[in-house]
Amino acid sequence: MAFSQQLPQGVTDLYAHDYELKQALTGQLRHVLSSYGYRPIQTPTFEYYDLFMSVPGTMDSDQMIKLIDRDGKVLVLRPDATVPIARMVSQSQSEVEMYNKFLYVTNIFRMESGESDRSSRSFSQVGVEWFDDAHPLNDIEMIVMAIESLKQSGLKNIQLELGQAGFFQSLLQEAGLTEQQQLVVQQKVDEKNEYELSRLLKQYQVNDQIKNQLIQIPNLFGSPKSVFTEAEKIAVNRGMKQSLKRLVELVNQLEQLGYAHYISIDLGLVNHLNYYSGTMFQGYIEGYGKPIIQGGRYDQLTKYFDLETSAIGFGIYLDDLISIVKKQQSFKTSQPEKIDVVTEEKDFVKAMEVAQELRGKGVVVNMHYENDSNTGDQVIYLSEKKVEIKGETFTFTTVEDFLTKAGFVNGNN
Amino acid sequence: METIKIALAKGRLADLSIELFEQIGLKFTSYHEKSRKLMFTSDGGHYELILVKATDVGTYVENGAADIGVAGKDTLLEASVDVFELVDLGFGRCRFAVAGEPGVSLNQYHHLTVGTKYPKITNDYFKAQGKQIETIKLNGSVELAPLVGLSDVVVDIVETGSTLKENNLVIIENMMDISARLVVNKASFKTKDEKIRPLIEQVKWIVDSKGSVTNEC
Repeated sequence: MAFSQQLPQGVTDLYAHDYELKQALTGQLRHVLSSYGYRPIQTPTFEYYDLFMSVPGTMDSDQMIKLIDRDGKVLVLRPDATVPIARMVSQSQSEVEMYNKFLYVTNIFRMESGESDRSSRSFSQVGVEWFDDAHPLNDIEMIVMAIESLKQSGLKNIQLELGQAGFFQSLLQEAGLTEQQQLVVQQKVDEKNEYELSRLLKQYQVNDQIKNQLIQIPNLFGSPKSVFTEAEKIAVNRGMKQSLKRLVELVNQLEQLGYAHYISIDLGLVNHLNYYSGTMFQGYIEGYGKPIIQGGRYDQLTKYFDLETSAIGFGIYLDDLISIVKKQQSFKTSQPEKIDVVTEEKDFVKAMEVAQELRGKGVVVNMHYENDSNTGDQVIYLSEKKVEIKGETFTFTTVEDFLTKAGFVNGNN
Repeated sequence: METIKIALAKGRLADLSIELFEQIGLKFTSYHEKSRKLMFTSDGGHYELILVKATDVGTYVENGAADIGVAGKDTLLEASVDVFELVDLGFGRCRFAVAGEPGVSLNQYHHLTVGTKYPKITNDYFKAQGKQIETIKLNGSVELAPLVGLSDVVVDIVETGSTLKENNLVIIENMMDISARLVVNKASFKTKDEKIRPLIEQVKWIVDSKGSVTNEC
């Protein structure tokens, strides 16, 4: 293929079959999310680089795809869905009082540095953001909505893992480490790398009690009951106790609502701590190597935009969702009925009238001028006044006669 | 029930890992070092071994093509993969070092050129020190680079130091110790935890009870 006709790395075409599935899934997710009161919004595809850079520690600047504006300012293709929405809310405070639940379906662009094409440079996300008053019940509703979104997309073997940013953070603060050291410790906890964590804490001369507690954090995951028992043993300060209490209450209520078997806990879930500040969660599907949903409460960001509100939200990785749905064959897209109208040129006007009539009734109609490649469920040979339905042939006299015979009368589709 | 896939780096690490798995009762009798097969099933049928190139172990595990992997810390760092790094297995121990001709000091260069098979590790290391360097990516015989003037120094894994010695090079600076690590795919560890976690616990128990293991690369 000529070079000029090739696609750049990390982007892809979607052919009808895949795109129809994507649209159907998006539609289904929209349907679920809007039933919780979320309203769709859209932010621009590119914005100023400074917007994302000035929000501390959320985006890796190397990952942004940059453009230069006419006046020399740097623009970036949307590298994240949440920051632009927070900006949008901060610029329209009065509007927000009227509604504060946002739903988005959007493309995210990231420069992936890897040599392989595995992770795409343009991917789609469906998500929600709720600028709220941080009521604990809102966390529950968000988690229920996350599970329902996946469930109603037809997915099986869903596992939603809950964490609490405050538990680890409160403990870390007692260790007396510099900000740089804290980041290294956080990274080791995130990797569940007990061995290096232990060496590191020794090197940083963290006192034995705190060291032993920090080393246990990576192992505090699994079923709620066992994790809570272990976590209580090391919850020494007020912050840890509070975080744990909140999580226990959350799980308790989710259990009452019948979601127990979707839920697990990981108190070592610390990968986005500069972003999330309270309840965090991510969802996995058994047999798929990456999380497909990620979310939590983030107060840092709203603080940065001077918003006098808390916020909670999640994003679903739509492309991953599609891969799983295809593998599990769990989502059925409804196909409209298709009819082929075969006609000779002399009967074109009549045939077109029939076709329009049928289209008006929600049928997909393809016109043919030769009897060659018919793909529809039914074929109408208009010039011969003959219909073929699933291999059977019958004749008709008028269009009305046909509609009756094919069961299209009175919109009885 | 779905099998658990274990990715091992072909060669010595694979042999040592299989030895370790045997100690916890996980046997792969169908495995032969000389075999050309790349997949082996465990005796009970619950586990599957796949043999890949050392540098690919991280990729297989990160993407969930394998649930568990054993790889050297060197390859994990170089590929910077997003996985759980659960156990320092203690074997495959060696270290990264900067080496060059005798008498060379890193401070004598304003702009250091470094020959290495590990450009990422090299860049990260010198960046953290605030030193400007230029890496030259090589795929083997790294020791040659300073001798023929391709680079000022080299960054490589040092085992006994005999290769350096034979080529009249010396260690200028030790960078870090490395060893074989057991890594697990993040999603697998959560969704298949009832199968993977006991295995990890047993491996940890064996490794911890052995204390520090032989010093070999």
